[in-house]
Amino acid sequence: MLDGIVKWARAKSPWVCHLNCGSCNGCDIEIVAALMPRFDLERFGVLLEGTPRHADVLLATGPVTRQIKDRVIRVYEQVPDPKFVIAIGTCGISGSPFYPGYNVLGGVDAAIPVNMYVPGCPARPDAIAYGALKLLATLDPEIDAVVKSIEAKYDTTGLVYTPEEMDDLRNQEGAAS
Amino acid sequence: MTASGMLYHPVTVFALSLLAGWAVYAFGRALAPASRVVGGKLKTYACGENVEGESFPTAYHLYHAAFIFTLLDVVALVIGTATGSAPLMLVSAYVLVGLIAIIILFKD
Repeated sequence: MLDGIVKWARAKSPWVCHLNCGSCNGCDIEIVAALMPRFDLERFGVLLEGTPRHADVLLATGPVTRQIKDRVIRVYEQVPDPKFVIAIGTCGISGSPFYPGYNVLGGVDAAIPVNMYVPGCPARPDAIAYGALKLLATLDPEIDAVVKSIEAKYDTTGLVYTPEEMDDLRNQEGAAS
Repeated sequence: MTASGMLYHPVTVFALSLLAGWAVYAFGRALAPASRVVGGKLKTYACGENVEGESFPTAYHLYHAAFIFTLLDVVALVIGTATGSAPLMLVSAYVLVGLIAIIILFKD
């Protein structure tokens, strides 16, 4: 029962910390828009925190450059367990179009493990909200049911990718090229 | 002393409040995942920057006046609020301890 209460608490109040890994700020603006009343991530209990020590989820944008890599890893280590990372934007997923520049190592997963990928340039606020919801679905079966009903009603292909889906996509692209 | 008197005794209330505080932290500790100290987890958060702690020498000799004032202020407060029936020897001993403390602090 205690585990159920803990899972419920974690799913109902995921506090986020925004980390710009080298982004042009396009996705950062969309993150702020997602938190504002129009798209309202805060109805899911999401709160933007100024320090990773208070956060459960790290919203990482931008390609990981050589300069920022150590800093990203340090911030990730400072997020307490259990922690999740959402890579937002095409740069956050693959570093594109800056990869393979001399200073770009790739997406956010070049430095830290990622739990959800939200593509877009910039990623739409509703896609960011859907990515956060899909992440919470792994913790709460009620939210999982909501996500499944959304997927049954609307075409959500390509809106967000789980790590497994992203690996499949990369393998397909690698096989195609 | 009655049972309720013992329960509301300042020492008992203090001990119970310490226990309550400990219980809250122990509950949180039981729920939280095991602590893993890796890399820069314990470092100061400065947007990912590696901030080394700076040390500066404690310069007590700059705070002579503050120390003397604090000590004598506390001594004066305790003596001033002592009851009229307080033994003279006890009050004198308290003042003497304060003076000894000042001498020890500024011996050098």
